Amino acid sequence: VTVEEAPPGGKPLPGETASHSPINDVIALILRGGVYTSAVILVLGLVLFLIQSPAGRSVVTEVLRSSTVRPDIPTSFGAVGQGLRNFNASSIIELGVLVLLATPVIRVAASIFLFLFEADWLYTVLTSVVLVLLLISIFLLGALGIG
Amino acid sequence: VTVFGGSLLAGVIGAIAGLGGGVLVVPLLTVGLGVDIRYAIGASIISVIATSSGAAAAYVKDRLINLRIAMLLEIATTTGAITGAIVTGLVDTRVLFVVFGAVLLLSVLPLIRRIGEELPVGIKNDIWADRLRLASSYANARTGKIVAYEVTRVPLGFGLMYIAGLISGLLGIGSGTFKVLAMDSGMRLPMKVSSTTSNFMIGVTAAASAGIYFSRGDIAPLLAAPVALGVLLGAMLGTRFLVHASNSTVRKVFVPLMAAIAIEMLVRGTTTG
Repeated sequence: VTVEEAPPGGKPLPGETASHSPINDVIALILRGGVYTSAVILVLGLVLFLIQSPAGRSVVTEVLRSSTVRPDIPTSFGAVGQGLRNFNASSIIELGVLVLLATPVIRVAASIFLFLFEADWLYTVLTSVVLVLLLISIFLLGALGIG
Repeated sequence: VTVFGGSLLAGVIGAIAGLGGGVLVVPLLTVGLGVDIRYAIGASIISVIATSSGAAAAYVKDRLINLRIAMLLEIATTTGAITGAIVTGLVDTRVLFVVFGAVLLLSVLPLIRRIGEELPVGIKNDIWADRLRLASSYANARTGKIVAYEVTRVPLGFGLMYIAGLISGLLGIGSGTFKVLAMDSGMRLPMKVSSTTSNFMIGVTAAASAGIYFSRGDIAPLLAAPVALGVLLGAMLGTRFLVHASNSTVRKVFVPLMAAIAIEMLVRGTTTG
């Protein structure tokens, strides 16, 4: 490791080309966008829940402490969509959770195009492999119920 | 409110140390609030993704994260996670918790010796680091100097990352500790690069296993929402701290936490299923 003075005029150091590309800024934007969108949806869902059932808190606590009672949790895209049409607070919160879960996946997908855009073929391929593996593990293993 | 406050703390610490904060969220919910372990783990997956996305946004912008290393190593972690998910059930998780807890505890020792280390010295790129153009640099926010670093023992780091992924798939934990260890002790990256790159990667590892938890109904909305919001806020506070902290300060946060995680794993292996 060498510590050098910051070069005047931002002349790139050896091996530093990537940090002058827009890749970092675009990825930061995607992560921030996903996080804020999900946070807003989560707050809306929580507020709606408190309005809909002010006494619901203790009930929820009871259910979560039990390992036998199955609470009503939407577990598929269909169920979440159904609940959204009825302004169901749980479904709105699950939508926020889904946005949060999708953020890293979108980040990987976007990185493929960013590397492609930079004509960085090696990392275009490597990142594509990551996306395929990620999708396999989310959907295939999720559907099989393994794990 | 307790959930929110605890998650806030988890987010701060997670963002600095490069972990998901599950180590704090799970005991807080189970021991502290008596929540069933299923929902606690579901909530901790959410906490990992929230820490990762919340903190990484800032670190990517500051160029602390080494994106090439992250992408390369994510191949190893996702492969490991898939392997883990497939072979789970063939092995006793309690034994695994004990084994990996012990491994982690033993790995603490060499780190204690290096606790004051600011930057690894005399590291030269290995052939893989050259071929894959992994060497990079970051700007030290305090001095304004550019710190360039090289990367060594790439196959070792890749192998350790596969194991980290395997552990995630088998035990349903984020395994940020093992990721930091692979980059710090394995590839000898500067501590801040290891911690932030791990932070960036754990979101992908957690997302890989989130599908399973979501379809099993383990992610309880009213638990997930305060956890996610608390962790997000905490992660953003934590990033402010890390950007200006020295490498050795980050080490001082990471090492005790790692010891705590090792002990927690040993406890989980010897008590519950």
